[in-house]
Amino acid sequence: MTLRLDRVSRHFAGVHAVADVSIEIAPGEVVGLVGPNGSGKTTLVNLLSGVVAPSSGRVSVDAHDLTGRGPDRFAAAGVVRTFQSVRLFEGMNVLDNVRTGAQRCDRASLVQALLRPPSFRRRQRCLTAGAMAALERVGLADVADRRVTALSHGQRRRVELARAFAAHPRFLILDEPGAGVQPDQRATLADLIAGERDHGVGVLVVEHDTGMVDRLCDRVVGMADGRVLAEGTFTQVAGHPLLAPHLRAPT
Amino acid sequence: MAAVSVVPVAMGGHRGYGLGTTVAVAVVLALGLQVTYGLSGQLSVAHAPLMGVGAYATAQLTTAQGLGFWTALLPSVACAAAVGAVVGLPGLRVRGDVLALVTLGAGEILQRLYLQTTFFTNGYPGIAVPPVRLFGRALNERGLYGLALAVALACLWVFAALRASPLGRAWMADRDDEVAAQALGVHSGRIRVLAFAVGAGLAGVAGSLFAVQQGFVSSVSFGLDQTVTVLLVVLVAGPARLGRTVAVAVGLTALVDRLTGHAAVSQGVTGALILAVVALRLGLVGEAVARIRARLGMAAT
Repeated sequence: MTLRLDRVSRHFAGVHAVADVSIEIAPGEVVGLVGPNGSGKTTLVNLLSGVVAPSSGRVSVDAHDLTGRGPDRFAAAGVVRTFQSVRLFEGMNVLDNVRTGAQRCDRASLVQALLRPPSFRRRQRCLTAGAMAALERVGLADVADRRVTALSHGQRRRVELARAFAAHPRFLILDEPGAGVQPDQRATLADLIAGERDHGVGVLVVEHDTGMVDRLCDRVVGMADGRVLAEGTFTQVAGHPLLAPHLRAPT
Repeated sequence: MAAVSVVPVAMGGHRGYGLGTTVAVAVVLALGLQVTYGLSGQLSVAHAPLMGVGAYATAQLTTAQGLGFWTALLPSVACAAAVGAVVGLPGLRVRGDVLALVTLGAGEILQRLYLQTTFFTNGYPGIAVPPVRLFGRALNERGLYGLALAVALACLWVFAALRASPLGRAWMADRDDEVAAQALGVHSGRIRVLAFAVGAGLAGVAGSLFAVQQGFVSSVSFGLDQTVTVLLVVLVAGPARLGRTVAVAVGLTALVDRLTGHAAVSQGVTGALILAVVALRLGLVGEAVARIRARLGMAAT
């Protein structure tokens, strides 16, 4: 029951973005991924979510080999992610963005959409309730009808988080969830992520806020130049000579 | 749809009912493109030729096969949807301008087939279509208008139901950001082909109505001119906008009807509308308004 990379490498035009990396995320744990800019963190996240296929190695969920499969297959297996730059569906309102996350396991059926049987309508009510609950968790229930283009950057980040929560993931990958979030709201953000862990979700967090990583993560992986250099507690990883200059001491 | 229903009242008489039917057909045709382009974000430049599939299928089924309009409608729509799905297959690989060019080519091939496959289409002379019969009586202009209005209302309901469904959200998600959509489990390939099939199916409905309204089907009715007109309706209305689509379809169809017989003026108006759409989409209008406002503000101070 893990999300796993086995000796995965990925190169772009001969440049190794990720080289021979193995990493495992188990349900109910928060793993922090830290390292300097350009160390391969986002490529690793893309590999773990199927956005990028590995040049070599194996990606699996619960021992099912998903190497080379698209992100929709990863999502079907329960792997849900957010993006470093917030990626919302700009033509939709806030609620529909989150409902799109909530319908992750649904096969969008044409026949059901047209015939609208009672089971379909019940499921729609359930999706809406789930989406509203996710919006309430991130404190955005009052802007559910607003277009996402009218929101601030911090609100947009929270909509993306609500969309991921509403998808009921088994593994949640968060690429810099604290970017653009006000410092006084970071504790709330950490509580929300911890809440997912407490519900048995395996979480990978890429984050530059070392204080948040230290407080939130059960395990930390340190990367540089596309390789995993250290793994353990934040203190152990921050003690690595090649990582220490890039990891400020937690405040 | 109130705008469509007042057309015959405003115009009066047979001409009013005829124009009302034409407007209803235009609305259904535009709704089809609103599915393919407005919801799914795939620019199809083969929409009028796809309408032709529905029209020719209805013509063949009601003449050679001797079926009534009501029996012929569903198979005609199914034919158009199937051809639409094939035309939409390149959407699995390409989007945007390239897809538009590919569908333009597919539309040209369909047009050529309408002329060359004389055993099916009767080539240039076309096929005469018998009138629609209801309870044994042929529908007059007013009856046909009522039928077209009812069908257009049904298609509006279909569009609204699709837009509010998980499939509609999946289409719009894929349109806005395909990577983010796929990362939430949206299977882009399946739903893109489906969008082409549904859009073409609605075009097929429009084609069937068009066939019985005209009483005649010929390839000249499904050319690039017709595709440009329906594209203009959708681009001016904006993607996935229901009310605006109806309003623009009514306005543009009435304008085209008004300019019938004045080819040069009609082409000029179409050209001006295309330029207006391009200016709107490039933000040139907003930019000009902002500049004028800034100048007026400076002059005031």
